[in-house]
Formats: sequence, C-alpha cells, structure tokens
Amino acid sequence: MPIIRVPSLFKYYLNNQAETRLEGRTVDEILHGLVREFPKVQPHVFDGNGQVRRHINLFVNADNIRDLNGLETPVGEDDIIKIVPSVTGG
Amino acid sequence: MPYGYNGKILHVDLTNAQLSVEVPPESFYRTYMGGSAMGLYYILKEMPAGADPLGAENVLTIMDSVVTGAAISGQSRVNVSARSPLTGGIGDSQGGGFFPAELKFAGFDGIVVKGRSPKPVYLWIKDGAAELRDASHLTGKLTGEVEQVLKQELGDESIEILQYGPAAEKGVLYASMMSMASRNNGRTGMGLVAHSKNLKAVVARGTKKPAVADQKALSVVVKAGPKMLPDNPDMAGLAKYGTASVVLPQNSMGTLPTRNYSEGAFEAAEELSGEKLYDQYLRGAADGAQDRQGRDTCYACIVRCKRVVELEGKYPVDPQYGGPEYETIGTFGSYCGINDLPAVSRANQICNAYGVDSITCGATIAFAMECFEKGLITTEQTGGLELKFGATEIMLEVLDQIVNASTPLGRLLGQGSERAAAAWGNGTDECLVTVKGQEAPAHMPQAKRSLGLIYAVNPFGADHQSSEHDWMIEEGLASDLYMSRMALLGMPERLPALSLGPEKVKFAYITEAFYSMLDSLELCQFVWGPGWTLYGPQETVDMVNAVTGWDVTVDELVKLGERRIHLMRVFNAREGIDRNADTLPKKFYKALQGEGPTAGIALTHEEIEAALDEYYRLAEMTHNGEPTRGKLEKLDLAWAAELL
Repeated sequence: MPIIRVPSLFKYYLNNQAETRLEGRTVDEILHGLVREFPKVQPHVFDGNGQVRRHINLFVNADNIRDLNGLETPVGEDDIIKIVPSVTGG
Repeated sequence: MPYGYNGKILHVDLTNAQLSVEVPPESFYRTYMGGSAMGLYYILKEMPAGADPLGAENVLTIMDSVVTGAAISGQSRVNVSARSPLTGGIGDSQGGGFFPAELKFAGFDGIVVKGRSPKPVYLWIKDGAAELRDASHLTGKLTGEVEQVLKQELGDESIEILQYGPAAEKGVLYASMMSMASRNNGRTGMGLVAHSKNLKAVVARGTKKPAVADQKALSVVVKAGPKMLPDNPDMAGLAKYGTASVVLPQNSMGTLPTRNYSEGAFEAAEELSGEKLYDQYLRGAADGAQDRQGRDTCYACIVRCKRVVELEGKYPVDPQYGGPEYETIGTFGSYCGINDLPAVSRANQICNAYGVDSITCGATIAFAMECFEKGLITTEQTGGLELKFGATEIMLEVLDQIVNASTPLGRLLGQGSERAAAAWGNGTDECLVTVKGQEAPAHMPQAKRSLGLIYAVNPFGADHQSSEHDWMIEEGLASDLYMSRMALLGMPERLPALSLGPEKVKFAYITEAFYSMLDSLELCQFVWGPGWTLYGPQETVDMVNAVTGWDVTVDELVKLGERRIHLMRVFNAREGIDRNADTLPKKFYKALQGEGPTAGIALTHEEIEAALDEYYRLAEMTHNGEPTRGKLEKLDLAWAAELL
C-alpha cells in the first residue's frame, strides 16, 4: 500500500504518526482515505467546499502533483505521498 | 560617478536649524551599503553612550541603500534607527512603500538627524535641495490628514511623506513612523524619538534616478521575477492573499498565538484568514475586482502583497489606511481571542492613523486581557472595562484610550506591557510576552526553536524578521528550492523537526546575518531571502552587482549582515545590555494549553542556554554576549572596538 507522510507537527492529527499506509489508486483517493481514518486532519487539508486547501502542497515521491496529473495522479504500491504545507511569510 | 546611489548623506542639526551634505567615499558605501548598518555607523560615532532616548543627544537615522529605487521588486524599503525609548537599546524599524525610492530620487541616500527643534518642523527635500519648514499646523492631525495637508500645501500629489502621528504627541512609547498613512516603520518607538526632536515629517520629491551600472544584467533578474512567481507556491499565496495567507497554515501547525500566547491554535482562525480577507473585505471584493482595487504595491514591485480594505457599517475602514498584515491580525485577532476581521481592520486603521506599532499595541492589549481574566487586575485598573479575551468592542475602546492617552489605563498601556506589569505587580509579569521590553510577534518559538534563540539575542527585542524560520530547513517541510538556496549558505542538509542543536544554531546565525544584510540593503524579506522568497542569495548578488557595478559575493553580503549584528551589539554593550538581556519570557517555558499540535510543548532553559553558548561562540562574541575586538577587526570595524 502507498504511504502518506505528514510534517512532524501534523502527527497530532494522525494519532501521533508521521506516516501511515492507505489504500488508494490516486492521490485524491489517498487523501479521502486519510480524512476518513483521521477526521481531525480534515479541516487542515480540505476547505469548507471540499477543495484541497490552497497552502497544501502534495508530492508523489519527489514530484509535486501540479507537475503530474493533479489529484488524479495515480499512485503505486510503493509510492510515498507527502503533505507539505506552505508556511512562509507573515 | 556612483551607480545606484547618490553619494550624498544629509545631516540635520535641529537645535541650530542647520543642514549640511556629506559626500562619503565609495569605500564607505561598499562597507555599509545602507539601511541599518549605515545608520549604526553614524549613531555610534555621533551619539554619546548613555544618551536619553528622548533627549537631544539621541541620533535618528533614516537610511535607504545603494539599491533603493532600482526598477526591481522588493527594493523600496527604508530603515529608521535611534536609541529606543521602549527597550533602552538600539532601536530599529523597517518600512516600505514609495517614500524610500522617492528619497533616493530626491538626491540623498540617507539622513542623520541630531538635536531638537524648538518647534515642530518638517524637512522638505526636493531634487537635491533641503530645508526645514514650520510644522506647527500639523500637530494633532491624523497621518492621513497630514498627507492631504502637505500635498495641498506643496502643490504636488506625488510627494512622499514619512511622519510620526498623534500617538507620538501623546507619548506612546511604541509610536512609529508612517509613510503613505499605510506603511508602518513600526518597531521600537522611532516615532516617539522623532517627536522628541520635533521633526514632524520628512517630505521627499525627486525626479533624478541614479544610473544603474549594468541595465542588461539587471533586466535579466527583473524579467525572471514574473516567470518564477507563479511556480513558487509560497510567493503565489503571498501575492494573492497577502501576509495573511499564513493565518491558516500557522493555525494548522499550532503556531497561531492565541489568548496572549497561552495556546497555539485558534478555534476561529478561519474567520481571520487571508482567504476571508480577500474574498469579503478587500476593496472591490463585492464586484470581484479586489485584484485590481484591493491589492497595493511598493515602488516597482510585482508582488502586490499589500492589502486595501474598504468597509462601511459597524467597523468602518478607510482604504487610505490600507489593510491588516498577518502580524496585526495575529496580535489584535487571535492574540486577543477576537475573530472579527472588520474589527481587526478597524484596529489596523487606528494604528496607522495615529502611528503606533500594531504588534506591540495589540500584544499589550492581549497581555492586559490575560491579567484581567486571571484576576491579577480588576475593573479598578481597567476603569470599569470587562477586559476579557474576545471582547471586540472593549479591545477597540482600549486601543482608542491608548492612542489618545485619554485614561489612566490608556496612558499605562501606551508604555507597553513591561511597564504595565511593573505598575500593576501582583504577578502580572507572569503574563508578559516580551524580550528586552518589546512584545513578541505572532510566530511561536515553541515550534520554531531557533526563532526562540533569535528572539532572545536580537539586539532590539523579539523580532520575526531577523532570521529564517526553522521550517525552511526542517525535514518534512523544506522544499528542494529552499535547500538549494541553503546550500549556497553552507547548509545543504535538512535538520530534524523541533531541534535546537549546534547545526540549528548555525542555521540561525547564518540566516540572521543574511536577514541583517537585507535590513542594510533595505530589501523586502518577502521578495529577497535565503529560502522561500522570489529571489534567493544568487539573485541578490546579481542584482547588487548589476545596480552598483561592484563584484560582491554571497560571502561579502553575509559579512555585511554580520557587521550590522555586531554594531548593534556594540551599541547595546555600551549601554550595559548583554547576555543578561538575552532572555525569553517565562511563558515560553510553560507548556502551551488548549488544542492543536503544540499543546503541551514548551521551550526548556537548558536548550536555550546551550544555544546561547553556541551562538556566542559562532559569532565570536564573549560568553557574555559582548562583541570582541578580534571579530570587530575581521569585520573591518576596529573603530567600533574602541567604543567598548
């Protein structure tokens, strides 16, 4: 199963885990699986309209999904999906 | 002929109403380059140790840099420095807009102000000529009113004005210098120093832009900007949503200071977000025209991160006063437990109209709220106000009392939270969030450990724009872009989250030096920087060389930053300020409350003391945090060693 990995501080939302394995064929399916399993993380990834928040960057291995096929980017058994929020400025 | 700068510094003796022009050699410009470093040169040479911050002996400097006014993003910034009445140490404030470029076009690279005028005056600078004019008629006017009066009086809508506001006239210790009535040189009370000198304003108008050494090379950097911006998610968010773009990420990470830094997550963060500000409150939002009408810029900048809010109703907001930055939203919003963006925007207007630092002001009100909530003060001290977290109307009432100094509470809080705690006693100092007397910004060191170190050592008190924050180099957050730039500074490896070991201290010191250089070259830290910004270290080198014709390197620029850090510490050492003042508030050592990723997290005394030891070692200071002759000589500052 693919692995989804979050920054250290996001472990709070994942029962103190920095990563977890989830079933899914696309990034979108993995993300929805994530919030089903860990509902606390939902508002930090998705906005009120169900869209991925603007500041959430998603990578499949080393590649940003905006350079791939967005949320429909396929993921394989050994892929690592990373959630990396933009936390700069201010 | 110098490229990029005028080669002229204007000296103003207010006591004798005398103006003179100095023409320093190129070597002087190459050594200090501008801004804070250049100001410190004059302050240390011309201000005697022990000078009263509000006395005639204090020296106030207003400095551009060798690149200010070049036609590229993020260069129109000005530094105002002097001895701070708030901290007693060196004062330092940075601000943007159009005044900095206009001052350069008016013929000067900087201004050194000494003495005290017997009556309010303003300094009128036009195309190389300067004179002092009576400003008595401007007393008591809001900053926006002064803008209008002077533009009419001088018959020129294109003048740019740097001024103090009515809060300085009322003695608010953190009164600031304002330009455009919306750009705040906020920190450390420089507006009060200008008022103590009766220098109401500096007004600039110029038509002569200094030549650029290599326009073709500058164009390469300029043209890269619009191409890189959309591909940089940090910059794209900043451009569209302003600095408030970081409200929600901060909240998700547990680093949105809430209820006076007692918690790191605010349940109503969504109501304070940059997205909400953009969607609902920017000028033009109702018609979907906020990109054109609600985003403002500084001279020649493509980012356009400045906000313009226009509101009617319960909390009217005049667009002349701009809109709130993240820091203002943090301090008047979550810091105070307030979830109302129109009210925060109104508070922002009042800060800008009266001329106060919105960070210290909002944080001081939040401090008083915590004191009241804990029963450490009562309605006896608040003049009957129920000063509770989330009390929006009362927050605005207290703000009004502060800027008008209209009540005992307002006058006391106008001195900042440390002096209020000293006056109130009864354990209120436990609620302080200050370093060297200055209130901490809305970035939490509990989750950015090296920021805690920088808050402690920064010579003018807690400041969030004096180093790169930890997440730029931490595993799980640092992107390839950040790391490719960090490699140029000798730090190619990601570091563990929440660490504060020697490698993180090195990161803190080197990026502090880089930011210190930016505060001398007067470059915007949202455009230029060592990590996430539009332009990185290599582009900074390319731009400086294109503008000036010099051959600087990254190492030379970092050395400039070190020069400023060490000059600031020389200033403080003369005033007896050293490691004994490099301390953090007690609250940072207590576990954060509430919900979220940082609940239960605190700094420890052991890690901070160890980090201080390592920092002083790396910086080649004494164990007590004082500058050393050896390091000063390495930095070409042997003259400063004579002052120790």
